[in-house]
Amino acid sequence: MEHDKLDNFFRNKTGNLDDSLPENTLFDEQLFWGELQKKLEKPQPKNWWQWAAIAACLGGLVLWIILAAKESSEIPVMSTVKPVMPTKKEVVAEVVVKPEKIKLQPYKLKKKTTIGSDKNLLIPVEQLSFRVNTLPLTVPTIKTDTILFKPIVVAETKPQFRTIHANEISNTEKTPVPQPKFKIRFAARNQN
Amino acid sequence: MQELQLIQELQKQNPFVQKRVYDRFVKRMFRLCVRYIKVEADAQELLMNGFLKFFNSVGKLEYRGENTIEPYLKKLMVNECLMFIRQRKMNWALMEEITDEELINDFSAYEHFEEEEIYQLILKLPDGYRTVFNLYAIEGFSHKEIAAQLRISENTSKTQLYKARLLLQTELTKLGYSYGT
Repeated sequence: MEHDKLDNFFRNKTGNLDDSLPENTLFDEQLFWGELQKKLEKPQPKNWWQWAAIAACLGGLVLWIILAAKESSEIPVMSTVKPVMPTKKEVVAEVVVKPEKIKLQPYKLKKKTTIGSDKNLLIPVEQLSFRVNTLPLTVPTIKTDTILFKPIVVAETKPQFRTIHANEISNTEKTPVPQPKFKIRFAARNQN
Repeated sequence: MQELQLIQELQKQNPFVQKRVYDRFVKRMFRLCVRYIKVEADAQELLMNGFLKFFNSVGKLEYRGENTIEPYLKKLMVNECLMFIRQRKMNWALMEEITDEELINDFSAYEHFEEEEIYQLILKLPDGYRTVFNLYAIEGFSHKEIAAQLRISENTSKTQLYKARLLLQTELTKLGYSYGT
């Protein structure tokens, strides 16, 4: 009970302290407000969870990019499509086909954009190859794809050298240059 | 301006209202920080952190009557002080030279003491005594809460409080004698 009285006494006394600074203090409120205002104007550093969220987003983005790149490189587009070799008879038929049908650019673009995510898109590609079957000019559309995945390796031709002795070179240097005979004859005729 | 309006303006980050609230509470909060930390430089740093946290987190503050801002600000300041105390090693040793005395029953004789003198008496207490006394007697924490906040046992809290009371009473008696002479 006495404890409570003591506590109440101190609580009331400290609570009744008027709004004045303690004695012998060096605290300057206005200076302090200036510093506080400067810190308030500065953007507050982000909390750890905000940084974690940003890091998670970036990580997800990077992972998505990696996976997307991997998928696009693994599409077996050309493995299923059989390259059609036109026979002689078919070539004759090709001549009949009008060149207007060659304009398949919008189709080609659509297929290319969706190939990355859907394997079913192989079917329209095969259909295209059927059309190409009759048209020799449509073959480049497939060729472009084959070029992407199967780059043509050009074998480098080795330069051929012949080993010779150093004396041979010196002999060739010493051999006199044969002078054309007709010059002499021509000069003789002029003198006469 | 009513507290509700003050809170609304604070939530809009109105600098004039911020200054107004600062002027209203800065001295009281400074006294509070000094009551816990004693060293003025440290108290100023904690005061700065407390006000920054208050102005930045005032958006979460809900209006609960005309006395909403001060308890919230006070809580922030006390938390800052406790964080500071936890970071440095507090000396919880007891002063053995204090002898048990009978507690004062009647405080009417001491009522005429100046508030500032009583405040200075609290500041004279050793760190451990002062912290527990502040938390228990002034802020109204329980021993369990104090033990959790300061990471000490409840018994340590109780002992520190008991010794703090004894010391304060001794000092109060001395002050009374000096007043009488």
